[in-house]
Amino acid sequence: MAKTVISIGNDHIVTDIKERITEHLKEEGYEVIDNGTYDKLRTHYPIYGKKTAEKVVSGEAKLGVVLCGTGVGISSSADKVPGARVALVRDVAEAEYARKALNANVVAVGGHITGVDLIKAIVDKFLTTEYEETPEHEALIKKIDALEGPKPEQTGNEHFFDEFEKKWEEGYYHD
Amino acid sequence: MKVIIGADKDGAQAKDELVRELKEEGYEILDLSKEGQDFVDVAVAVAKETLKETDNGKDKSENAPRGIVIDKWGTDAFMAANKLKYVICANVSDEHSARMTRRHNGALLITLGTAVVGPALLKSCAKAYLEAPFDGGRHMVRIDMVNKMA
Repeated sequence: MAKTVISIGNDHIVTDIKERITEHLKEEGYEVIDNGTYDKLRTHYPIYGKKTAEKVVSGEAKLGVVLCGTGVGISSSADKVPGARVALVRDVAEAEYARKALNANVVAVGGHITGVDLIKAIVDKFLTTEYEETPEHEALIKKIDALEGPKPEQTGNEHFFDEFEKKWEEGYYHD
Repeated sequence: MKVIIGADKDGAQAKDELVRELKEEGYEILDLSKEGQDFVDVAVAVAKETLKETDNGKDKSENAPRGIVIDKWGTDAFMAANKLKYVICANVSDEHSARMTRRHNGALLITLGTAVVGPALLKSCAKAYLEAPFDGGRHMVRIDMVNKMA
């Protein structure tokens, strides 16, 4: 039987945590697409949130997992991908609810907020919980989907953030 | 500081308690809660009003208005709010995330779930968020990126 594919992404703050979750997913029998980042060099979470969620929406992966320090930055970026429904959680109950009622397709956690073992439990529950299709759930999902704006140049565009990376390299953004 | 707040039926009681406490502390409250709203309605109402009052989130100054949504789970209102352009919304259930999301993400609003946090934690998360400054600097590049996304 073909393995279920999971798309995962993170920023530089939590690369080590991502690696531990990836390892765990592989042990559980999943195939993992690791969208990076791959080291601890300072980078920007929207790049990885967008990539990870787009792989889920395109069908390359069944579900996604995103992590940054608090989980907020990467999850809000991922949620702006058309068709992505992202749940930012710190416990198993929220993850289960989001899968069951909202057919959430990406789960987000704060790698500096939630311990590794709890992250594993959250991800395990998220990946094994099925969506419960009811007219009520379908209506809520439709209502959320309808909030999405038009994004003609965003999807699959690897150069979408280039202008900002250039400004970053030029030292425009500094503390 | 003006706090734009909204709750569905599952968050109504917690919202009323929070409003009472925030008013005592001198916050100006705009409560957008209406009978019959679900979490999507509330999230959209609070997010849109907060966008309007902050020049699409550009005003992240110390006293800039902020939004708070209270429903049962938090993560569902979070999912809805972030679909809107210029909205950076955080679902929080701990004070550290509540503080850091304002400092680093300049979060326009937070969501809190009454099935997730008890009354005391809910209040202390809300206050941690409202009292935090925005750090700006290097964090702005990521916010500019998120804002380019529709």
